[in-house]
Amino acid sequence: MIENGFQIGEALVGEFPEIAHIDLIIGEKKGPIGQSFANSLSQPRMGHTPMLAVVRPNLPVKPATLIVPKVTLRDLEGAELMFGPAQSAVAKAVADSVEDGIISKNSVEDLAIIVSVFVHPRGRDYQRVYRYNYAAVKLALRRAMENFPNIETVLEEKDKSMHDMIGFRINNLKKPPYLEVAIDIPDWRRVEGIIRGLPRKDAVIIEAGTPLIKRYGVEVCQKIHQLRPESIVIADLKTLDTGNLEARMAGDATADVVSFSALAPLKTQERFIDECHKIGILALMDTINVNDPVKVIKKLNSKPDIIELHRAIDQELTDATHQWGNIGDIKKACGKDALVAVAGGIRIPKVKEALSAGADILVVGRSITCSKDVNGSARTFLMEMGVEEVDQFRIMTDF
Amino acid sequence: MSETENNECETIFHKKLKIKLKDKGNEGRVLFLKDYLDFLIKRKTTLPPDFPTFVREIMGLDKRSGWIHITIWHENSELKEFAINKGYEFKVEHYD
Repeated sequence: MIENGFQIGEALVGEFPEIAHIDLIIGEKKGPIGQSFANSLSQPRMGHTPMLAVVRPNLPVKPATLIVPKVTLRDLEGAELMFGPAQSAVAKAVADSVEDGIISKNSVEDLAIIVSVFVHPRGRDYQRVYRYNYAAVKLALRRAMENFPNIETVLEEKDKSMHDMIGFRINNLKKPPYLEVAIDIPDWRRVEGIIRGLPRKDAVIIEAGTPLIKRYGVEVCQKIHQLRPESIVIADLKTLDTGNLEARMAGDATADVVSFSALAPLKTQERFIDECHKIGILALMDTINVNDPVKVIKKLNSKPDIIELHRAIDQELTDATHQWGNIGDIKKACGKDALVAVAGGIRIPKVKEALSAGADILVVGRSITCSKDVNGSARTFLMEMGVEEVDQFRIMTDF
Repeated sequence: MSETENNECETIFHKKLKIKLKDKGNEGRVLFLKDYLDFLIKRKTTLPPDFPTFVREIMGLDKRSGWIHITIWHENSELKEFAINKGYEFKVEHYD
């Protein structure tokens, strides 16, 4: 059953270099698909000549299927792969989909399909090209007819999945608790050593501390990402003025989260938060020296994504008390899924206390960064926090 | 042991990376810096944040029989990768 004129399917199957990637649309000949089919067939472009899918020469498949090569065909070898195993696989997959009832037999004369086919120019093995493209087309057709994926799947997977081509997952802090390792040491080669020593865990966030950024600039975030592409990097700017400008600078330097001071004028804070949201990064409010963060949050028209309850390093030396008594009120004031981070003097014995008070992120500095066994110290915190990897126990091929 | 495991096992404490320059005098140091830039460009990575300090350090370092001594904190630092990649003779001395 075709809804709203056409349906869309996509599938990726196989291994490099013969890997098959299919995008297709199936719809009624009377609608936009029929028009696109005719336009595409009558206006071939160099290297992307559309062709009908045929079961064998002189026997086109039904529903009528147009193949459009995604990669420019530059030589005879590429053309032979496309006009041979790929074309044949598409036709067979369409015919089998009719036989299997994925496409209704009664509607084959009313429908048309446009299939965009990727064949890697380095692909050589005809068996693999055929099998992968057959499987991908059949899967894409089934998905199109079943309206796959539903929106719940998309919303669930967006925070779990990793795109093969970038090789790392964009973490957006949806699965607390997290361990934020605050690197305040203004010596790049030591920082490089610390980052290399940290466990490669989803729960580890790296903070480029204020002294580090003051010495080297926000570009240090990019260098940290080059060492650890999968990690969230926080630029601890503690901005007090020109909120939008500083947020943009850190965002351009690939920071995932940027901090501003809750002591800044409200206008600065709001412009900072708005700029962060505009460029797709998270805004962190640092509450150092602020007596009542809830009062400040309530006054803001735009709310921060993370609130850090922060006791200054200088204050830590003389004051052993913490400031995380009103986490519930803070989250309520933000009115959304805000995270609360606690910083300043976090040691192993305080981990459970902080988590049970509602903290989502534990900010730990010298307990980890000044340890010779950086990895062991970080793992001790992670064990105490009881965190596991995103998707660690799922065995996944596709849906 | 994988590279990640290797990285994680290493103690984070200062070590000395000793690299032998390929040429004498300032020419050797300039060649060293040129090679370093070439290495970074070909790996498509940005300059390390401490690059200005690093250049001053290299140009000012004493040469001890042709060797320069650079402090690193992890056995697998980018500088050691550079030395391997560009065929420099090197050794790492640990002090922990």
